[in-house]
Amino acid sequence: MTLFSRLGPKGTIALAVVAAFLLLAVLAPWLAPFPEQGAGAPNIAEKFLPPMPPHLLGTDHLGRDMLSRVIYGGRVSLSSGLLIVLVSLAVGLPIGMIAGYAGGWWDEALMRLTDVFLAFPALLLAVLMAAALGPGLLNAVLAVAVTWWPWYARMARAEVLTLRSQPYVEAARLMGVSNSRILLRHVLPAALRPLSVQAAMDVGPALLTASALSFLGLGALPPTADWGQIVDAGRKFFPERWWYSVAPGMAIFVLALAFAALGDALRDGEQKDA
Amino acid sequence: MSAVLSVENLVLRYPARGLFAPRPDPALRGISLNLGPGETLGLVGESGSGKSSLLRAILGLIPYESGSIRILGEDWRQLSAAGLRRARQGVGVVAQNPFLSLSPRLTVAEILAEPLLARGDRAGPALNGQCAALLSRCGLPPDFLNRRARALSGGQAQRVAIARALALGPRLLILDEPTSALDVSVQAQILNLLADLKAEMGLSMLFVTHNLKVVAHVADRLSVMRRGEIIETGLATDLILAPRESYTRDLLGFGLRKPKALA
Amino acid sequence: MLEIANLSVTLPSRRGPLHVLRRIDLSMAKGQIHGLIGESGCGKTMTAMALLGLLPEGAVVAADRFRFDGDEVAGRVKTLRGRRIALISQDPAAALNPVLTIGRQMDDVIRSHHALPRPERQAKAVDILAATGLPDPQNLLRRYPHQLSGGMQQRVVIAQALATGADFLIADEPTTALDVTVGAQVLRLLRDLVASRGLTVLMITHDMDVVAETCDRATVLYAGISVEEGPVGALLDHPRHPYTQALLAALPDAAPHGARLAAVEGSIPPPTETLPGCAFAARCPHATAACAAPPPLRNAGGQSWSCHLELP
Repeated sequence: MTLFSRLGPKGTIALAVVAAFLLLAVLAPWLAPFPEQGAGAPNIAEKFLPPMPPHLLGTDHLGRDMLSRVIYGGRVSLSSGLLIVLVSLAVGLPIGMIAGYAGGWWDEALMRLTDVFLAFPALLLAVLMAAALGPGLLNAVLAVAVTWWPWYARMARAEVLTLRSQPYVEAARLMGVSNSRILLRHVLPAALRPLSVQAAMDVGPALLTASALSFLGLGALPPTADWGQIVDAGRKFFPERWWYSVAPGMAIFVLALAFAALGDALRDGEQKDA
Repeated sequence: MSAVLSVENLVLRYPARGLFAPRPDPALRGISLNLGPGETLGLVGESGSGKSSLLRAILGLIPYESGSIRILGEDWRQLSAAGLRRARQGVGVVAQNPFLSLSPRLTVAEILAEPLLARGDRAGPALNGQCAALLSRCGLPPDFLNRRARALSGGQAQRVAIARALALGPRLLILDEPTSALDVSVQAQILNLLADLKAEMGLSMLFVTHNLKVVAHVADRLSVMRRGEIIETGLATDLILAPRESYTRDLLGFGLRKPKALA
Repeated sequence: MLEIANLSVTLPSRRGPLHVLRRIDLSMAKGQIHGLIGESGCGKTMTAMALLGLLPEGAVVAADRFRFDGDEVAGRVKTLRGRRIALISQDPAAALNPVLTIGRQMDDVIRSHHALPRPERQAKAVDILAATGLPDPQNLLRRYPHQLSGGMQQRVVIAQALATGADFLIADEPTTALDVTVGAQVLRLLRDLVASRGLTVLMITHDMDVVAETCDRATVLYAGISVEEGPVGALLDHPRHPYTQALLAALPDAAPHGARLAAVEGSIPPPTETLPGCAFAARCPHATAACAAPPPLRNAGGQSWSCHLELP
């Protein structure tokens, strides 16, 4: 089955939107109409221009082209969303797999550890973490990942628990294959499929959380563009200079929606497969 | 003559389901059996007879209460983790459903290489040649090496599973309902293959099944299990002709050919 | 009771049309158990689905004759389902709803077929359950499926089929999920019900033992084609079609202890293939050049089979 027939029309559109944002982020220096302003160079002479050519989305309080700012902000916001998911997976997956496969005391200890993290309100924990670590992109990523990894640990554990009693895993055990090899070669590939779908669905919410942190001033620092932080900066000039907040806000909205739709389509495709 | 597998007075009881639940009755109530070199023992039982519990206890997958199990002279409970891994490599196991017991994502070559790599063999041309030889011994051409398990028919997949069980040159082959998921004509192919392997390699086999008629054909001796006990044991030819227990007669009496003098 | 001639079912697929049924002839008399024998992929279950009007969407059905109880029913088989025809499936645990009591599930069936007040419906449920040999049916109404053994569950499924008032049962491998001794009891029950209530049963199975124990007549399917039909005694003692012969010879108790079994090499032709000649020719030990043409239908001793081979 081809990727597109698997995703269906809605999924394909969502994939196209996500791909477009990725492309814009990667090629920002070439695609942004005013790359220097996107990167943060002020242009006071043209401040607060409403949307019209050549500034299609207007300019901000330093006269920077909003479109370029949003495109540059996408680099930060997208990579923070992806990084959060990757870091969480990197921590949660091994912990969940070991808990599920080893069972007994290991399972008990590791799962109670995840419970501790899950019992704490997620956004509050992230805010506290970010505040403790100080503002900055990487710190924001770590702060969110701390609240995020237990979910992957739980999912990985549940997957491994069902896979552990699969006859082919048992067969490997009966052949005297070592535990680490069983986990890596027989269990991990099968567990990765549902987890990767979940991860794709999570990039959207991760991006939202990261934007919320930067909106609160705990994310990337100016002059680096970041959607949440631009929304915050524009708040002071709302509603007269509405385009300042609306442009990055729409970007967050559209991208989060696209990721959610893509995840849905992936999950449906997975079910079609089974 | 030393036994390849000997089980003595085995009692197995599953733990109670809750703190105050009564202790369940034993699933196995003192099972004893012996399997000699080159012998095939058929173990027959319906659901709830305890045959699966016995099999899992023999393979060291569940603990038992009392009695002993010795495989090639060793008590697996005394072994270290590494020792257990090594001991397991000396026993080939074939499960009921080949599609479930072969890793769905691996090719036939990778599946066959798995036990060899677990023993410590190095990947390379020698290993590939060994896999091809195993495959041809089980009646499949070498071009099957590159196929994935899910692209095989039931009979082909079961041949691959048997080839994998033979990879380390085991002396004991444990077969758990190896033909129950297969069509009659394919079942005949697999039974023929097992008979050939037994003759060629002098394998001992423990053939566990619910189907008395299938195992009666290939086994030297038969043991009939019911409610955690072996109720009848004997040479296959004798037991088919003159079953002592009425339960065995019921199992044999159903269907096409009533027990009669077999040529 | 049922007369089907030259039934074919073709399903669309991305790899081209799938000929799941190519040429099925089936005729069954009232009050009989008729076996439908074949290995996986031969079209047994698809034939049942065609009878129940449960074929997948897009299926192309053609038949020269499709008569049920004297009426031509092609195109409206669905209307018979649940009124005249009922299905007993392989896995009783899956056929029963795990969260509803037996009484509730029986009542659902009875209520949709009979306008009766509640106490009478309950009495009817108890009667029918008792007729399937279930002990203490009154008490059984309050129980859940998982509290029953597999054999008892299958009896409940049979009771449900009876409750619809259907007089034609399709039993799809009804004992495969059960132990041999329990299955034998369920089959005996079916035989008794056929005798006492004048039911007609189509017994779908791969198991020659089941056929020998329960069926009056049987049809052997191969690659979606009915290749041989006849009374069970004759069919099993003197199979005429080479496929039937091969199937019987492959049974473990057909050969002396320890001897090699007569395995059929090769495999069933895939449903993507069109088969102008004999479907079994590629695996047949007697195949000749003539087998490339459609085989003629032959008759002898109440049996009919399609094969080029002259009787020896």
